[in-house]
Amino acid sequence: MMLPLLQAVAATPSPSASAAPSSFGNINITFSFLLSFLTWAPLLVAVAVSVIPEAPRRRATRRLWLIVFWTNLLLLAVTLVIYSSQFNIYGSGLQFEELLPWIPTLGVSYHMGLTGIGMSMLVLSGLIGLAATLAAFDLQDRSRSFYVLLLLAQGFINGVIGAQDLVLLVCFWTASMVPIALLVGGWSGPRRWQAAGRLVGYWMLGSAALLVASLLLWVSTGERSFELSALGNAAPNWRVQLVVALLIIVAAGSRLALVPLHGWAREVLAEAHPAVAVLVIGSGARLGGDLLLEMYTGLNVGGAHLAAKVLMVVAVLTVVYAAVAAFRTREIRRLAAYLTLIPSGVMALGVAALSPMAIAGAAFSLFAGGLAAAILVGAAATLAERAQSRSLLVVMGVATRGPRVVWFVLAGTLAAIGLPFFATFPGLLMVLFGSLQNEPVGTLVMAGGLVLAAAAIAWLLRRALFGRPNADAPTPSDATMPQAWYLGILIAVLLWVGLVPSGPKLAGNVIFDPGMINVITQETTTISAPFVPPASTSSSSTP
Amino acid sequence: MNPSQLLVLVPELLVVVIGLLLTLQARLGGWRLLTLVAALLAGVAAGLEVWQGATLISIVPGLYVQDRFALCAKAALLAGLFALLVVAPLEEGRGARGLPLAALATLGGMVALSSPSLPLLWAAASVAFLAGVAAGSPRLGELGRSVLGLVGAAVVLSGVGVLALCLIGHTTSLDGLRQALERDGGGTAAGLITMLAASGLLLPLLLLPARAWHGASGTAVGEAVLGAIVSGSALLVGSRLLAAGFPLGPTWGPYLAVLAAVGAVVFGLLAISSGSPRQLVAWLVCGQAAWAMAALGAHDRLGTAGTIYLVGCFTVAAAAAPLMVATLPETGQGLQGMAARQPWRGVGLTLVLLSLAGAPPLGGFFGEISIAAALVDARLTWLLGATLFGGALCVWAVLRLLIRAWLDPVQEDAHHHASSASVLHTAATLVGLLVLAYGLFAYPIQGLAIQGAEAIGLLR
Repeated sequence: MMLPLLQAVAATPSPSASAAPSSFGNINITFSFLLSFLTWAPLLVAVAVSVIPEAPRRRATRRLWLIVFWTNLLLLAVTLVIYSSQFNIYGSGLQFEELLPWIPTLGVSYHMGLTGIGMSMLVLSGLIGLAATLAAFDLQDRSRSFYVLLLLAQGFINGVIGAQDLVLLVCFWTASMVPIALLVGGWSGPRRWQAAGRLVGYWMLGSAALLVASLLLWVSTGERSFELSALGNAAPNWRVQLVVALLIIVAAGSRLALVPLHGWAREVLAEAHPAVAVLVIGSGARLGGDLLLEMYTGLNVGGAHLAAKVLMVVAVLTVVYAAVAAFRTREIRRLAAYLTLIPSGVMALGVAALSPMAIAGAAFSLFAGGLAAAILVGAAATLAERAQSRSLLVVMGVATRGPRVVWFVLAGTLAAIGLPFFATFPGLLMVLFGSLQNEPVGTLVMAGGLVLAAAAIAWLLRRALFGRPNADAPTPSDATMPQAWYLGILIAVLLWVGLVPSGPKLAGNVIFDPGMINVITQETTTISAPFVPPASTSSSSTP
Repeated sequence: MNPSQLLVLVPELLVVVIGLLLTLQARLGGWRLLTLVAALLAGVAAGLEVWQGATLISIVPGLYVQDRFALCAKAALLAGLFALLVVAPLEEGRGARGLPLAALATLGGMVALSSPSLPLLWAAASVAFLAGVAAGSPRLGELGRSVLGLVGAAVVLSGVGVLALCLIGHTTSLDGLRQALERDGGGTAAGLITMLAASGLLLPLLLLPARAWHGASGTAVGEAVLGAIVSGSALLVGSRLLAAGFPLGPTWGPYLAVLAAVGAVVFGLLAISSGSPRQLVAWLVCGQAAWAMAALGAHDRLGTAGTIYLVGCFTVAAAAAPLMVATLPETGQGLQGMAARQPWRGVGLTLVLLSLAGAPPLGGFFGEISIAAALVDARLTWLLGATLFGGALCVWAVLRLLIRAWLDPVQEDAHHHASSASVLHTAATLVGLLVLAYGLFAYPIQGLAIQGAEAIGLLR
């Protein structure tokens, strides 16, 4: 019953009132500049924020926050305009393309472009940027440096999403680590050095793996080009394909915190400032999923087949590990950190399964999982802050005293394991159904892991949040207005996309949201074409 | 020869003028202004060097040749001298006395890079090394035994190696040596001798850490000269010599590759364990030099071009970094909040250190990318792995320092370390932006570097 419905949703985009243009801003100045704008505008504002003259402390902090807030709102607004009316869900290939030669002798170019997955990632990045800014509303300590680093991280993350040249991608990918590491090292708890050190260690390993994979692909093309499109045409031998696939798994796994490359996640997500944790897990870590979809399946089809089992094992291990660790921990922020691994594992299984539906589900999970993970770590950090303790034994029964923040935690935990009505639900279903045929064992083990995670969450809800209040615990306060706003916005989007994944329609026409699933399948249809089983190809070609 | 072609000597002439100007500054006074004028002249010289790129001549046959390699390499050294002079006023006090010797070291490096003659190449390079060492301190006793031993070993080893190469090839010219090696095949002995000469030329790369290790007696200007001019000259002159020994590449290539791999890992580990900013800078410079050596180990066109490209940015960053950390105390405590107190200097320091560590999107990163491409092309992926590991350690070491400098609370008792002249801190920012621009405008520079590698006979 559900399977045909999901297939129909994933395969047929909603009709659009009119064909959308494929570039932005090229009416007057002959080239598209959307992606450069979204990448460089935050960086320029960061420079501006860093040189604004000092004002009295309190006023200066609020003024800086307002600048960052309006910048993020503008970036999100531009992204949503593009998403809702400019992005062509019927076209294939790159849109909003920008191409400038950079180092022709090596085949490096400043090539930016947007696919359906990239579009969803840009929306996610915009939402997370705004949420992180709201989460930093009360920050007083070295606020200027904080906002500068936040904007730098956002700009570099947008750069990764748009990059269509591997050197450019490696450049933005590695550059995004620097401000995030500084944010973790500068505004974290007492274990900040361990947290920042682990982040740098794991993410640098990923950067090195990505660089080596890029160079191996570069050598294997006769054209000596780092363009993703050119590298997709390379035909290296199976050993190179396998090595490249494994290196991409390492690079993506280090960001997505897939076991055994998850060592940074617990420390960073449990120690960092809530705004930083939201940024890291909401958009910084999702870049790994983007890489898996664009490079692992998109460029290296042979390697994807060869390394599929490895990725499947990694994905399943991640979910099982997250569930077991969530059961064992007694700290609310660590619990949230573990549960955020689940959407990453689900997404990775979808890629490993290499079926059209699983890949579409993985791309959808990438977006929804980012939102769910951000809600979860943000809400857990808020709860720990308002309850003045991270211990689950201390926060026990907090629901009776701080209802709003508990509902945010509840929404985050339920969304992380993909319960109905949340956007993670259709993604999870598509991944599980799409994976069942190719990876039945892995799918069943992962389903078991999800049940275990659900049990851990049930335990959390019954004992810790809704249990008998701890009489010795300090009196908790409820979430502040900015905290409620950012968590509320993220939950609203998660519910909206979960309820109408293919967009609302009036008399069969899309009204303002083309549907996240339609935007994503604009790209996944192309990516998954080599993985369509022969039987279904012949049947679909039959009139 | 057309007299107008003598214009190619103008950059060398300008370096001589810079040296004289800096020598006279003790009598004329106003050393900051004079240093600024000297920096402008160095900038003009570097610009002229690149602008005259189309003029390829041999002025005195057998003694001076201006090919594309020479112009790229000399422009890189001049860029280092420019950066050094721009930030030199950050070190107040006796550092100024070393500046004329910095000009002499640059001139020595330039002459060596334009020399098609082996003895002249050795002599000029030796002048560059000795002047660079002397720039740190005019008193012999202050140099330290390790520094003196290293520079002595460098001069002697390279001298013996060059002499032996002349005897093997029955020629004193680089071109003649290459032809002889191609004709006769050379053999293992010739390969070992090339390794000996190259080792001598590359040994000065260790002078900066030896100097930093020696303690606080040296000046920051001296360390900047060692890091930028001497190390840059060593790498570029070494690549010129190794290009002549190209037929013996299979012999010396693996040697250099192993040396670079060990160096990258060891320097990375030392960077992460160093407690003082001065020592960290020294290890970072060595770590990036290991990348350049790794590229030479590939002994091909792309590798040598990568070395030339990287050294162009390396000299600028290596010249600026020691001076930017000059007034910082040796312990980590004094670093706390430094960049917050002096944000312009902090921005310059951040950009320069990140570039030396190879973090994007700065010049050092793009230099390392081009070298990584060369290593993969030469199937030296194990070497790439080692250099990437060392690079990752360097990035973490720099990030730790930056967290202290930017994000730790300001230490009130550290205010006396701050220099008051904000214009100097702005100069530091400008050098940092130069490092950033080097990566963003990589296209023409990389193209020149490829042409430079081809000019010394590396056509594949």
